[in-house]
Amino acid sequence: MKDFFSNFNKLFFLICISLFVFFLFGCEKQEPEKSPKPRSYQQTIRIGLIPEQNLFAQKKRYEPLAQYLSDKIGVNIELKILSRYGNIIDNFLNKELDGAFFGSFTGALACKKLNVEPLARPENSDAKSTYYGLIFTRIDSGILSGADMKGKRFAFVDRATTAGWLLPLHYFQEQGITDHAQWFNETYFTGTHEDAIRDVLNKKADIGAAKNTVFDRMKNENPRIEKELRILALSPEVPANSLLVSKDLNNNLIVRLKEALLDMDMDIKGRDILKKFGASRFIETKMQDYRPVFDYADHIGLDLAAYDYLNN
Amino acid sequence: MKKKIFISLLILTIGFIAGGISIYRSMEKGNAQLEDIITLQHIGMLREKALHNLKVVQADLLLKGSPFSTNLDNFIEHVEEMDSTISTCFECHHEPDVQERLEIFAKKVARYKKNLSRVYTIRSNEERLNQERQIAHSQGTEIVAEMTDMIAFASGRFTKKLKLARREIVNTKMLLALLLTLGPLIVLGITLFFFRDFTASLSALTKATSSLKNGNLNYRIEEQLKDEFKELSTDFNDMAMSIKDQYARMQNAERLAVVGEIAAGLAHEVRNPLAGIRLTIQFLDGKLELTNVSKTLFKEMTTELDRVENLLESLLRYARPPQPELTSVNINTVLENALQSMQYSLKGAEKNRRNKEINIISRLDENLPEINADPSQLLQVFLNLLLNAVDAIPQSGTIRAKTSKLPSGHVEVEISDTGEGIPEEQISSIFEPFFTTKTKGTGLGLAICKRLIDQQSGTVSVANNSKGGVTFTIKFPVKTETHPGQLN
Repeated sequence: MKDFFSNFNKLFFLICISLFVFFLFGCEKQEPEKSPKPRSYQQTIRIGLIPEQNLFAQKKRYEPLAQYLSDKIGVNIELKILSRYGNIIDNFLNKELDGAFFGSFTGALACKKLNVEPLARPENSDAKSTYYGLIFTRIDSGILSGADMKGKRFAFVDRATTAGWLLPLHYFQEQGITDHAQWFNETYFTGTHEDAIRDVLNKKADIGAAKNTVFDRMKNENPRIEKELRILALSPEVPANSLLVSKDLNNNLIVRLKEALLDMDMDIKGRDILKKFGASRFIETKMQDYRPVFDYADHIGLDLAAYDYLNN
Repeated sequence: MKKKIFISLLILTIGFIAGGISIYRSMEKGNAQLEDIITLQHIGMLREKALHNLKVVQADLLLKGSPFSTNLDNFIEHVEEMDSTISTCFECHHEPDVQERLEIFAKKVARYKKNLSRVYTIRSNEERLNQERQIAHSQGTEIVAEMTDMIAFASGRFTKKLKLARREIVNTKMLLALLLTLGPLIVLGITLFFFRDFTASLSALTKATSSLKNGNLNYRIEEQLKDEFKELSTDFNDMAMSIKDQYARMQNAERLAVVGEIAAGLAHEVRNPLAGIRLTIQFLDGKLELTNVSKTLFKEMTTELDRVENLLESLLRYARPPQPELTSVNINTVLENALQSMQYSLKGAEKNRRNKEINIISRLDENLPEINADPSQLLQVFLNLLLNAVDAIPQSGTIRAKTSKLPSGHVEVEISDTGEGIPEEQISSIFEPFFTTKTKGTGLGLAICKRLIDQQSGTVSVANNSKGGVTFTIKFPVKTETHPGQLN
C-alpha cells in the first residue's frame, strides 16, 4: 500500500508538472519577426529619378538599390522622384540634387549644362546597356507614314527624352513634317514612356513614341501590345539611364559610389538587388558614351547647350 | 480498497486534467476571439487611416493647379502612405471571399496610382488634363466608397465578434464556477465515502478487539466488511478461534498436569496397599487349605487387583506420557508390525476376540516418505486402534488399513472397521479421558492415543463410515530434510 501511494504520488506529480509545462509553453506565442529598419548615416546625398515609368513604380524600383548603396558607402541616399525629365536639370541647377539617374538625353544635356560626372549604368541580361526609341501606332489605325499622321494625335514623352522627343523630331524631318504642331490635331507629353504606350493602345492617342526597354517590358506583361501596336520607326541606340553625380561631391565619395555600383554583381545581395532591378550588372559610363545622343541632336539641329527642355 | 483509492484518485486526476483542458481551451478560444477583436479593431483603424489617406490624395488631386496645390514630394508621400496603409490591410489573413475582394480592390488602387501619376506627369491641353484628372478622381471616389463600405463591414464583424467573445467569456466564467463548485463537492463526496467505510470497519474491529480483550473468546466479527477490512475481519476471527483453541489446550494441559499429579499420588498411595493385598492373598492362598469356592474367590480378587493396577498404569501413562524418542520412521513398517501383533492377538488372546472372523485388508503406499516419530509409541497407537476395531466388529467384518501421502505434505493413515460405529452425539467425546462404550474399558485408550499423536505433531480424527463402522484418520507431517546450513 505504501509503495502504491509512493508510486501514485510520483505519477501525480509528473502529471502536474507535465500539465504545467504544457500550459506554460502552450500559451506562449511567438511574435512575428519584424523586418529590420534600414540603417541611418550622418551624411545624406540626394539622387533624382526621372519618371521613366509611373512615379510610384519608379521610386519603388530604385529604393532597394539606394539602400544597398547607402550600406556600402555609409551615406544616406535620399531618392527624389521628379514629375518631368527636364526638372532634373533645374533641380541640379538649384542645388537640390547631388546626383541623378539621367536618361540618355537628359544625361547629354547634363553633360553640356551641368558640372557632373557620369559614373555607371545598368547592363541587361542580354549584355546590352543601351536602348533605342520607337514610334508606334495601332495596327487598326492604318497609319504607316507621316502623311497618314496628318490630323492625328501624337503622344510624346517629354521634351528631354531621346525616345520620346528626339526620335519623333527626327522622324518628322524624314517624313517632311516641318511643323508638327500644325500637322497633328493634338500633341501632348505623357511624362512617362509607359503612358505613351498605354495611350496609343487605349486609343487616347493615335501615334506615340517611347523607349524600347519599357515597350518590351510592357509587351511581356500585356500581350495586346504586340498584337495591336505597330512600330513605325526606331532611333539609334543610346546609353541607358546612367548615374551622374555633381563634381562638387567629395571625390572619395564619388569613387566609393562608383566602385559600389560596379562591384554590385560581385556579392549575393548585390546580385539579388540587380535581378529585381532588371539588370545583370552596372558598367562604367563615360562622357563619350553620350556621343550618339549629341550626334542625333546635331542631326536634328538641336543646340543642346541652349536647348529649352521644358514642356510648356 | 487499493483499487477504490486508485480509481478515485484516477477519477480526480482525469477530472482535474479534463477541467484544466476545458478551462484552457475556453480561455484559448476567448483569447483567440479577443485577438480577433483586436485585429478587427486594428483593421478598422487601418481602414480608417487608409480612408483618410485616400481623402488626402483626393484633395491633392482636386487642388492640383490651384494656388493651394500640394508639391510633388508631399503628394508622393501622401500616396505612398495611402498605399502602405492599404497594403498593411492586405497582410492580414482573410477568408477567401474577402481576400478576393481585397485583391480586386488592390488592382483598383494600383490603377488609381497610375492615373494619379499620370495627372502629375502629363503635359497637354486643358481638356485632356481635366479628363485625366476626372478619371483619377472618379477612381478615387469609387475607392473611397468601397473603403467606406469595407469599414462598415469590418465594424459589423467587430460587433459580431465582440458578442461572441462576450459569450465565450461568460461561458468560461460559468465553467470555472461549475468546476470550482463541483470539484470540492466531488472531493468531499469521495472523502465521505471513504470516511464512512473506514469508520464503520474500524468501529467493528475496535469492538471485536475490545471483546477479545475482555475475555470473550467466542466473539466473532459478523458484519460484512469490505475490501481489506474483510480480510482483516476474517483474520481476526481466525485469530480468535486460534486463541480459543490454544486456551482450551492450555486448560487441557493444566488439567492433565493436575490429573498427573493426582494419578502419581494415587498410584503411589494405592499401589503399595495393593501390593500388600496381593502378597497377603498369595500368602493365604499358599498356606490355607481353601475350598474350591474360596480359591475361585481368591483368583477373582487377584484379577481385580490386576485390573486396578492396569487402570493405575493407564492413568499414569495418560497423565504423564513418556517423552517420545523421535527418529526417522517408515510408517508402513510400524503399521505392518501392528497388524501382525493384532493377528497374534486374534489367535491366542481373549475369547471374545478369538472367535471372530475378521478380514484384514491393507493398502500401503510403497513410496511413502518417512516421518519423525517414536516407533514404539506409534506401534502402541496403531495396535490400540486396530484392537478397538476388532472389538467394534460383532462377529465378522473387515478391517482396512491404508497409508498415503497427501499433497499438503502429510502422511495419512486410515484404519477403518465395519463395526456398528459410534453414535453421532458421542463422536466428539471419543478422545476424552474415561469415555468408553465398552463394558470393561477404562476409557483411557483413545485419550492416550491422542496424547501420543499430539506429542509427535500429528493429528487424529474419527468419522462414521457411510456403510457402517468408523474410520480413524491419523496424519503426520513428512520428515523435512535438514541441510547442513539450516541446523538450529
